[in-house]
Amino acid sequence: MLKGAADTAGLEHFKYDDAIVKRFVVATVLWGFVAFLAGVLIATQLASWKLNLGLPWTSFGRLRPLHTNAAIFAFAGNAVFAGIYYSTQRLLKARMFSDALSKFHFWGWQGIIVAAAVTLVLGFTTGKEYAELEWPIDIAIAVVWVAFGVNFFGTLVRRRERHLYVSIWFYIATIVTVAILHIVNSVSVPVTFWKSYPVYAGVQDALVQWWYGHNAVAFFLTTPFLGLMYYFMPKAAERPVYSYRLSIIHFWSLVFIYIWAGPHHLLYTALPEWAQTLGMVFSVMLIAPSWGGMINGLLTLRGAWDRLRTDPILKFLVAGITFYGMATFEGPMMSIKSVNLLAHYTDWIIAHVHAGALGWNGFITFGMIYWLVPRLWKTELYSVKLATAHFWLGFLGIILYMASMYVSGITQGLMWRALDGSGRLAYPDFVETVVRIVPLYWVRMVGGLLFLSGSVLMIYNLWLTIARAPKEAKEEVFAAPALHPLPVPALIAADRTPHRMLEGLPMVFTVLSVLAILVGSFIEIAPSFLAHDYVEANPVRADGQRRIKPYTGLELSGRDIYVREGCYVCHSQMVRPTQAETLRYGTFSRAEESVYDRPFQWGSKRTGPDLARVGGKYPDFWHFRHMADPREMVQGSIMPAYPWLLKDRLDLSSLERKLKVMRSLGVPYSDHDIERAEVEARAQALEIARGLESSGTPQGMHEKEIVALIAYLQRLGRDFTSRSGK
Amino acid sequence: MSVITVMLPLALLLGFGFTAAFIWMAAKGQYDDLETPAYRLLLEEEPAETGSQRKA
Amino acid sequence: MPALDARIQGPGFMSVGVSALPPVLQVACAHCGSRVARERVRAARDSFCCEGCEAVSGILRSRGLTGYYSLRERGGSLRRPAPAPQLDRSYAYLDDPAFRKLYASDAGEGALQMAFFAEGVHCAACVWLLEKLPEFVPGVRSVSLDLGSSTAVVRVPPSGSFAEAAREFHRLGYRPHPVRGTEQEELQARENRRMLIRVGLSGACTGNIMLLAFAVYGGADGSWARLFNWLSFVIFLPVLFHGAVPFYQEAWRALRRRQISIDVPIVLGIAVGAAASFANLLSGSGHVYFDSLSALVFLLLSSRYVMRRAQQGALHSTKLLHFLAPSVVRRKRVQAPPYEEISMDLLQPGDLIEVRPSEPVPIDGIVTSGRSHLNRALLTGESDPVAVGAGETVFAGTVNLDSVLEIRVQASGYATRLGAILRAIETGQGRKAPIVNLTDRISRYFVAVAVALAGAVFAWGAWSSGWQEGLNRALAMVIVTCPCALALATPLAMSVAIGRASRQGMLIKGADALERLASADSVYLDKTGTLTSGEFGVLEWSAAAGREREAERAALALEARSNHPVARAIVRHLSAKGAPEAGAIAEVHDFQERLGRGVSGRIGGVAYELRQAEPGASGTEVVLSAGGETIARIALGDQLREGAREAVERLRASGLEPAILSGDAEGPVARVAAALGIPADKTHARATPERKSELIRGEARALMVGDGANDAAALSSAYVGVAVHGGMEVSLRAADAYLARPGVGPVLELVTAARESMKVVRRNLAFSLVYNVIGGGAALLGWVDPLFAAVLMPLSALTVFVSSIAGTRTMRRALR
Repeated sequence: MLKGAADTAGLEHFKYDDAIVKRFVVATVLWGFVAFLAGVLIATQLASWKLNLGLPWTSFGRLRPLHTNAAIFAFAGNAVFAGIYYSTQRLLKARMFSDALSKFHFWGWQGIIVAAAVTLVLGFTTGKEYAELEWPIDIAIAVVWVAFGVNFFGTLVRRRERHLYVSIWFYIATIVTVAILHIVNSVSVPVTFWKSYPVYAGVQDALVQWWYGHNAVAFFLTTPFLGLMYYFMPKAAERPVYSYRLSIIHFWSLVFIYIWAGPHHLLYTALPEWAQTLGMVFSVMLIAPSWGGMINGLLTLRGAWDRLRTDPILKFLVAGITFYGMATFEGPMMSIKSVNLLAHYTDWIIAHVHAGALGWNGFITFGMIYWLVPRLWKTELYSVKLATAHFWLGFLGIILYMASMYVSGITQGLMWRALDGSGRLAYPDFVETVVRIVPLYWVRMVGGLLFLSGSVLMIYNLWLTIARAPKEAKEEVFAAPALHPLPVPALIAADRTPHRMLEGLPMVFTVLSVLAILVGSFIEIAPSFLAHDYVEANPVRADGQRRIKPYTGLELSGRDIYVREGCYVCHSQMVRPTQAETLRYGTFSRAEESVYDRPFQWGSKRTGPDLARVGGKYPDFWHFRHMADPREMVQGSIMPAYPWLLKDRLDLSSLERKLKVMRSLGVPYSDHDIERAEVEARAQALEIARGLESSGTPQGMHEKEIVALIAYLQRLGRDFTSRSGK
Repeated sequence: MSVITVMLPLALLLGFGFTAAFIWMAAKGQYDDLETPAYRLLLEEEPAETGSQRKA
Repeated sequence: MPALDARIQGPGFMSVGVSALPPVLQVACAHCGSRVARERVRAARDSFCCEGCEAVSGILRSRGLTGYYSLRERGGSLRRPAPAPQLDRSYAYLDDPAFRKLYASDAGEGALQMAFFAEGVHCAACVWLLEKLPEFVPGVRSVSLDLGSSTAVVRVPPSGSFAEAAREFHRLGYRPHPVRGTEQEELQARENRRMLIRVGLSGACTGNIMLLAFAVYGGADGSWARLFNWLSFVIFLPVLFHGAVPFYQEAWRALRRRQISIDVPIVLGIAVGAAASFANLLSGSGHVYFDSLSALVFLLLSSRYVMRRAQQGALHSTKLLHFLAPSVVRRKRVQAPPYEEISMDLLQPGDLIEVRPSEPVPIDGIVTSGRSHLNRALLTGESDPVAVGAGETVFAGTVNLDSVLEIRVQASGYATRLGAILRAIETGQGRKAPIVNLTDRISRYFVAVAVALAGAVFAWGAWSSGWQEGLNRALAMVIVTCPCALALATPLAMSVAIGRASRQGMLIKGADALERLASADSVYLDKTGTLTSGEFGVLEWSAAAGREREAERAALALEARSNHPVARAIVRHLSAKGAPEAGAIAEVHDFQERLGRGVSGRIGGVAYELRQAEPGASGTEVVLSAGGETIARIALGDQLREGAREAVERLRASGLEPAILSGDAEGPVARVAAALGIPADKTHARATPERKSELIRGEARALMVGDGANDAAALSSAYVGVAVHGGMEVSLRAADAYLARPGVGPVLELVTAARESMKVVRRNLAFSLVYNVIGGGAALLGWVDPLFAAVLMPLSALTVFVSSIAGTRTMRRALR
């Protein structure tokens, strides 16, 4: 491996590592296809429930996390790595720090993707959106990400170009922040190899999850792509970026305060009022840096707009940046409380997500790949017409997708809150809205199909491009002078006048004092707050009981099944404090109710009704028939059927360990509860099964998983409401 | 809401981590010349092994 | 367009306007794209506008660097490139150890580095070409180019040679000028970085404090509010102890001068605000204003940073112009070849140097051989060339016109007469007292009113609802009326004006100069170079009746052979009139040229003679006689610049009383004054530098426009001095502003720009005072709480910012 042969004239010769970029490009294209295919499949499942095939591995609850992880970490992830590995080496005029680390990063990441695909389908999930992967894979992600960081910063140190172009800064922000986000959000205590409970619970888990959720979008799907935009847009347009000064201001203003984002996902939920206001203000403020980036990107084409007609790469990049502008304007608008009241939990959110994902991430990636492949394989693109066709197919697909989801989202929002003259709900039962928007799911599916077919065209086009590439392209050797250390001119060195020394002092003093006080206050304040939380939120009442009681063993097992089947993907557990919701679901949810919920299941989408107060609303027998065949109980429901819950045996072997782990995390289980966990669970199961049999269900149900699920569903929201439940 | 006591210092430390990085970069003179990098990006890197004419 | 073109186009750049030639004839030079003269257009191959371009493109082709052209076309160039220079230079003087000691500096690892101003750099292709230099010049380790200031730093190992790199620059079409004082530059860059760090740090702190404050405004209370307020205080510390330090220094300096500048109320506001907020924090009651205070510091720091960079941009450009003055001389060597090239700084008295035609005389000395004419317009303002021969003394600052002179050096550098004027300027003998700018004058009253009001509010509050409320209201008053918008008003408006003016080729050296330009009430114009074109030309041509054609033919035939300035003026005049066809110059027999007397010869059998009449009051005159009988009289002198009359009219219309102040003889000055309608009492001829500056010093608000060395003293002592294109380095240093385009028109544009920006400043001040009144009133009534202050502060800053960017209608039209 040519380290960089020194040369008398100070010129070093080195070679770029394009092999790794080729691998990441191929991975991006393939995993992209898989992600889009999964997207179209689950979109069709929503339109027609039969496609769930009644099998656990193909039901919507398990395939939706597969789609989101595939799209974010497999497709966008590989695209970002391809772009970073290519542009960083060119910008720093140096080969990657270590080829071994690059290979480890590539194969490690693909391994993680395959593991994710397998575990998610089998139901091993943490139940936290966009962080569903279980703890062994989380650890693998952390290790691979650190390896990527070491490789990147190593290249940075051995660079031959002094100035760090703005893209490099975006990559640095991505690597540093995603590492912290992932580690903080994945802190959990393992129960078994494929099961763990997060350290945070309830409202705290909600805030950490959505602090991670928003910043995953920000630092995994925006900052790296902005870095790619600042490199590939000028390269494709052969024009310098509109204002390099603006890009520097844009980056630093983004990064100094960005990490505050998150609460706007929890507006009107049980999050304290001031946190919600802070989230709202911060999000509206984010328009400035985001639009700074968009304007800088688009105006790079000033004077060359006509090339947009002929060049598909520019079409993709410009459309991508415009979608970025739209999505980052729509986001802040939606985080304004009154707008959020209408939009939250509806399909409007899905339209916003896909404007960003398909429009911004998708199109920037396609533009980048069409630009990269001919250069990597030293050949011409097979057909420009095909690439343009891909653009129009993709563009039309996105438009159809967004339009249908806007209509469906706003329809849902308005119908849920509609009250007739006498103050009663105009559409009392939830399925009326579902039936109304099913046709729109078909339109969305067609949009997705167009986007998918576009990517198929790309695969065909690239395949032929690579096939026709010259085989023995010889390795190109580049030369650049080594970076000389910054000289300290004599005049400056002599500048150590007392005045200058004094001037440096306040700087050192203030930085040290800030750090010291920050750490000090953290240590001093934290304990008091931690203790305070449990005492006040869930006080022990006069009768020695707490208002919110921990889940029984059976209920906890039922909750794990709820998480396993991904019910949170369509059902939320958070009644908002508005008239329409309290009328439809009951009293609004308080923060204390989910104090023992690990992970919190407030959910972010209501394809189905909210379940926060479903406990006791329907008899056990109703749930039993409903899970077997939802249409039998709810005419027109699109919920997949869960027949296997009636057949599979309820596994209580790890129940004792689960309660021990819960207790270690602060849930007040007594030793008595833990020893007799399995016996009591069996007893409760038997009792429920006897009730079911009296209504005509087959024998032996007490050993099946359905009983545990029913126990959990009947417990939801009971502690707080006055209704006395079993 | 006690998780704030974890999140807040973390957010501030991260924010000030990047501020420290900004200070280090500004002190090193990365932001003296903000015109040329935008143009230097456009320079096509062609291979130098055809360095035979170096003795021109 | 990126801010790059804020840099003005120094002389030597050619801005290619839309040429009038029909497109079919318009062939662009294959290398630099400028128009190719008709006779150089070639059918088959590329055609070039000059040999220089042809040579350079040949080099590029031979090295396989044709990527330059494709990159330049696609990369979008900033300005049209100038044609490549022809004359080849050896640059040997660069490797002279004495020169290196002055210009080169250590570059780490034993390497040496020298900075060059690369004239002709304009786009990405140039960056690529110059930075690839190490691959073609083995002696060079690296070249790094800064497009913004067109300076390239060349690093060379100790054994390497800068001359080789400079020659390579030259052959690729970029004239390199060594730049001294890179340490000076480095010190300034270091100061800029320190300022940028202050801005960045206080920006980050402001962002985070604002978010914490919003959490409190959003309803966090009890233990949360206390936590957030404490954290705001902690994050406020860096702003207080590091960000605001420049304000403490400025305020301290102003107070030491027993003056109140704008910084005093700012520091007062910060100190009181911080102390009171800290007190409230400790007591746990009352309001906390950390977010408003840090926003104040951040906004003011960034506006000062923007102001500083705009001013530096203008100063840097003027500094670059100095490098275009000659710094290389040819000295007669005792041993081998007659002349060696050395830097002017190394000349010793007694050396012999050679000055070729159209080169400036670099030193004071005595002519040892050769006869020629000198143009002294730049030194003394006289426009008519003067003959000079062996034995006569010549001075630095004059230009040798027609033939080679050899001069023995008597004095060089600061010892010359020109140098004396230069030193006088630099030591600021004639410098005028800095005027106290508008905002500082206002701030004197501002402080008094603010303190008085705060006292009143405290008293009234204490009387009506307890001293605690009184204190709170007083504190709110001080913070809300803290002069954020007021302090922002001037720097923002002025940096926008300076930035836009420099893009139009008008360099204003600072806010002080801008204010003076706006308030000038009379303008003193230098004749040569400003009102007139400065070249020697034909003023009147009176021929005897019926013999005009014959006179023109004879004059052209006789003068075509002579190199004398009068001859060249006549030939230029006739060919411009297109009198005889170029090819049909008549045959002349036994042609004689007697220097200083005239030319004679026989054409078609008739004896013609062109004699110079005695230099009378009306300047130089030439008589054409055929066989002893005068058939034509030609008056020559400094031609009036076209458009000068309208420009002077517009000057007078805009309230600036024009006057002429020139070192030239009464004749030409009177003629020009008459042509422009300037009254006799406003015309001063034969003015020596001393008389000029003492006359100007008498005027209260005079604007002096000049370019020559003789104007330097006047420029520096005038209320405001403006140096004009083509002027001497000394006048650039003395003046407060510099016009890159010659003539009177740009002077008016400059004054208009200055007046408009002062209007914007006054409008900004009005806005800020309105905000202060609102804030003060609200504080009086007790409405002010941190949220109110947090909204009012950025709002007032934003209004001032938008008003500065918008400028005025006339400003927008004048300074696009």
